[in-house]
Amino acid sequence: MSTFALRRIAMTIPVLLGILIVTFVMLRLIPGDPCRAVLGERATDEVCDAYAERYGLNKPITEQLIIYLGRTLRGDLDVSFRFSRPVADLIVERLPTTLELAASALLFATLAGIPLGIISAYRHNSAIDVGTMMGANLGVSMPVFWLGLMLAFFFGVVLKDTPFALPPSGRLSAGANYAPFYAVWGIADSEATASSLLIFLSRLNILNSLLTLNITQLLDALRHMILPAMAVGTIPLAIIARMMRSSLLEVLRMDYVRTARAKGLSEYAVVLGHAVRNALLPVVTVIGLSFGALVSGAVLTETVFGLSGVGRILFDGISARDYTLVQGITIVTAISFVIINLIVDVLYGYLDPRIRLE
Amino acid sequence: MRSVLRVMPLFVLLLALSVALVPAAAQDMMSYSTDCAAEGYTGTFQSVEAVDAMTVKFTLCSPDPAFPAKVAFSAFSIQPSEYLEATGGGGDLITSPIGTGPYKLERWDQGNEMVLTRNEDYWGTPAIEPTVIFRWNAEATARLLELQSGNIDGMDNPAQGDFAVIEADPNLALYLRSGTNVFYLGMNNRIAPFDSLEVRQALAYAIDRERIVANFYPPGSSAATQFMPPSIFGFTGEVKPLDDGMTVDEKLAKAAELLDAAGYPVGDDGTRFTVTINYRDVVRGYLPSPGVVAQDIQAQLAQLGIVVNIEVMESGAFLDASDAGQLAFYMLGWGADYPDATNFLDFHFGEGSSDQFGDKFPEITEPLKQAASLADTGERYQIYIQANEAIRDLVPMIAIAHGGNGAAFQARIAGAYASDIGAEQFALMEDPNDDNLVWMQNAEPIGLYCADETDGETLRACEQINESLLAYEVGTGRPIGRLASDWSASDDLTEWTFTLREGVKFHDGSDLDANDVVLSYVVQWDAAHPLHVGRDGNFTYFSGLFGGFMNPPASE
Amino acid sequence: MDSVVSLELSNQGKNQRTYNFWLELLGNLRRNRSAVTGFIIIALLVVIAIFASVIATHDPLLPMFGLPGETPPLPRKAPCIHLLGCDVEEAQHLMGLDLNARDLFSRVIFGSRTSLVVGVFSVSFAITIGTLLGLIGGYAGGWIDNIIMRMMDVMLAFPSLLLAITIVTIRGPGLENALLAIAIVSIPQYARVTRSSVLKVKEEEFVTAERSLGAESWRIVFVHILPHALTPLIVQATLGIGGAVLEAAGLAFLGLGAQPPTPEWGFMLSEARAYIFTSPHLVFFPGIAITLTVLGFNLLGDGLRDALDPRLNRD
Repeated sequence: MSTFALRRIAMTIPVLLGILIVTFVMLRLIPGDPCRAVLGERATDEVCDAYAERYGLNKPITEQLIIYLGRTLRGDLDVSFRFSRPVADLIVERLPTTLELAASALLFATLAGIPLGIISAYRHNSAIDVGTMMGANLGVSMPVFWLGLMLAFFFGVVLKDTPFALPPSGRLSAGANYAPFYAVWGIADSEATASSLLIFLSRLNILNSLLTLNITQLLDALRHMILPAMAVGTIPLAIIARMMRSSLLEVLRMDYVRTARAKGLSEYAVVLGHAVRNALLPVVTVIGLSFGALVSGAVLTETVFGLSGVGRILFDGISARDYTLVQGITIVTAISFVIINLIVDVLYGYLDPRIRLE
Repeated sequence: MRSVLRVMPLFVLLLALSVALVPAAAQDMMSYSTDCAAEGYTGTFQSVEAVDAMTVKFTLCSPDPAFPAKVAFSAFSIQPSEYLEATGGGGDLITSPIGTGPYKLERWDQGNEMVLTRNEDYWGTPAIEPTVIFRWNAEATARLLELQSGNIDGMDNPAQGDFAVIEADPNLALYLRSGTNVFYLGMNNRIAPFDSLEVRQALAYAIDRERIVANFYPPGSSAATQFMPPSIFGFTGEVKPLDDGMTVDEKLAKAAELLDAAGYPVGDDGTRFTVTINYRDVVRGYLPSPGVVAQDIQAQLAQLGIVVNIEVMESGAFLDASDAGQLAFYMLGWGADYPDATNFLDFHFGEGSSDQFGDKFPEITEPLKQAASLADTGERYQIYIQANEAIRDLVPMIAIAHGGNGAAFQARIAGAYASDIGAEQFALMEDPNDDNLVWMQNAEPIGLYCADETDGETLRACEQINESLLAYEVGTGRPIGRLASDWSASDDLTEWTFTLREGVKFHDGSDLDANDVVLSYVVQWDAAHPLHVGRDGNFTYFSGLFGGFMNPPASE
Repeated sequence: MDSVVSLELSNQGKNQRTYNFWLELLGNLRRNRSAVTGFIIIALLVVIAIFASVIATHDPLLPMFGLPGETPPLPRKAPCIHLLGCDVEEAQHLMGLDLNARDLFSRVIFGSRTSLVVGVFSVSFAITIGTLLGLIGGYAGGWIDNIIMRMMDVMLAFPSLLLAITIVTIRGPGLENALLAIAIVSIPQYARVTRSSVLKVKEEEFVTAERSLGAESWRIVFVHILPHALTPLIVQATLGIGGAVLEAAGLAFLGLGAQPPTPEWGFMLSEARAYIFTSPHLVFFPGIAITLTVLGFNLLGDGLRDALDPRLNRD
């Protein structure tokens, strides 16, 4: 198992290198000049020449690539053109929002999608099956921004002044200021003295509220997270439910399931014990693949729900030609993606020993 | 080429010492100057000096009647000189500013919100609400949802379709901004068919501006009759548009006649010619729905047999191409930096303007040059009439609309308003329900050292914290005293003297004096100054409004 | 043993099998309600797309300004249907007018062309390349598999919308480029799904048997392995067509899809998104059109999956 995992990790290195180069090249293929995109349309040529000089944009492209690779391998993500702050700081500040959103959405999608798929497959062609698949079909065909706005309207405006009201945007209530866990635990007094990792973790609101046992923050954070998680999670939910259903349907007709049934095992043991485990294989792939969809969904959802995650600044970064920012965020999301798929592959090996033995 | 003379002459010191009333007299008075004729210097500043602790004098290389309007701009707010030095001209200056304004920065949770608290030692009337919270969301619909759900007290820029919703909601109040901007159709007179004056005039007749404004612009907007927006000096109501008083059919007939005369009759396929219209898909106050307007112009010109292809371009590439004179036909606009004709007319049609409309017309450039050197408002006005007439007759572009927009607040907020230039002062507003005012705008401020910022969302936040020598009067846009209680100019408009207000304290408790003013300007002006750092170091507004930097960086 | 005879015999048997396969598939499909519903929706869509100019009541590009029976304000005017009590003096617009005061019904009708083209072409392109890559990688294994899959990993590691945005930004906005971007972005999904099926089937006894009998690789891959990979591929592809239509809407939301004044549902939807509460018809009708289209493909795909499953036939 460990050699399998190690080999799998070794294989990610060329992938990461490929991502670095592709991102770099693609950004430079985009027409337009970063200077005017960043400094505004009224920047003079004189100002833009100085700008190119400062950021090394007037060097030959290959030299720029080498400098960039060297920096990135040293873990230096450079300074954002547009924000004039280190990209790493921006990521520490904003990635927690996206992670929290993606994790909540994926949790919602998996926890709801797998049982729905199992029930639909088991009760094939029943009302519950047809209903679920209709719902799943509608779920995948609904634009995220439309769903987000409808949810926000319903829970924010229609249910206003009822116990079910949910805030239509933001991560926490206006003006709310909760103590980070490192201050409560006495590790560091303020953001100035805390390390990036501590700040990063403390900005995961739900985690921070659990670490500090702050119920107010937990409720505040959860109330703000429910709607965006539902909006982002709907498409993966529908995909997971469909995949689970079709995969389980297939497995249920396999010989060994018949054998298990013939042996007199209870239906419960047959379906949940034998069939589901085998049917999970393609579903796990889909869950792994959903991460990309989640990040894409996050670009639109963060806009609708006013969340300050990486999705939104990534899109703004592309239109603003903020090379360093886009490169930095892409590499970080790409690494998370590679890690998640690594986990998926290892899980694969666990679920299907044949792959591991190969 | 170092041309700066950094002088602290003894006589200034002595002069200052002799003014016994001034407590800070013992301090050195700063003074900076340059040689206007120095090689590579394009700026209009000659010197900035602290005459005494409470007096600052600016000397310009050429007369500038709009100088007070520029000085009032929020990019030129006054920073404490000690803090400028302590921060090295950047860093903390950007994230924890110290100003003189009615609010000070309490906490900026980047990405999420910005919390301001009342400055209890404010020199003027203190703010009413103890706390103001800035939040942001790029989607107008989402902002309105927040307002309707009661989570926020005010929002910027409702979507066009939501104006009616807000007006119909008894809990909400709508405040309109009239447009201090212009949306125009640019035509390049070096590229056929726009090299023909008849074609340009025909299009000026053909475009139904009223239809565009009535259907695609929010309330508060108006159809343009000339390039200048009506509320800004330089607008001359005497100059009527070419199609004044004509019906739509008459206009189309006139346009068809002109096109025939220009040698573009209707061909066998029912069309006259094909052109491409370029624009960028960026929403601005002057053009709230670019795609829809482009499609309407396409449909309008189709009536005349002109086939228009729509081509959306990336914003930066679009601006570069139009400036370089590469685009034949395009949609663009301009919003006021400061309320004066020079910011509109000279920038687009003056001698130094770009090639965006092709060759320049002496009939337009001459009067503009003359007007910019006159001190007398009445005389300048007469010359702008000439300039506006020439622009109308030669049609370098077709001015279409002055786009309005607005802000919406909870109806209970007392003193709520929307400023034409987007500079709302939250210190004047009161929320009877609680102790804070939550405001949601389109985007997060980028940095709070506004000398080095350009976007309106950022400037609005700075304006609560920092103040300039002058300010724009609410309603008229006329410059009025802010940190300067009084000011005067020499007869030739090259020397401007400002007297500072007594008793102004910065948020850190230090007193405002002339050195703070001089240093605040010089770090922007002198590109070689050790404190010329900022957020990205471009100080775009200074070079844009005052012509250029002292010691400009050598460009290769 | 006479090899010529046996070859002919086996070919004959195969043709027989193929024929029976298609007949059975058709029979299965006819019995499957969701497949029939899906098929009807798609057939209807195709008919609408072909006869759009006959069905549409107005020119989809013509604003209604100044025409008889049109009372201003025109943009975003609500639907007016005479049968449902709308004033007969008013011009009839089944779905109302859009932001440019054009007849929304006619635009929705013409929009079917664009969406069908985007959905079908991008998915066919992606599935052809993706399946091929997955088959090659999964069957060949080793370094070939490694290279292909690492390439796919690089592509997958970019969030798809981001990759599509970048492709469109480089090539310039427009329908063809959006189509291409959506296709490229979805290649890895098909490659991975195919590959995982190949890996599963490759070790099955009948494949090993076939290989030990000396069958050629391409034959094993296309005749024995590909059919087994079809089931998950079809599920993926049906969702993929819907996904492509949605992805086009996402690109349009960001201003990178079909260019005006082309009627395209995603563009219509996002153009009108600020009017979601004030003029819901602008968002409702294109939204329904997208949903129905996606639904049609999904239902048909479900049915196909059931009908294609060889094990199902034995039940």
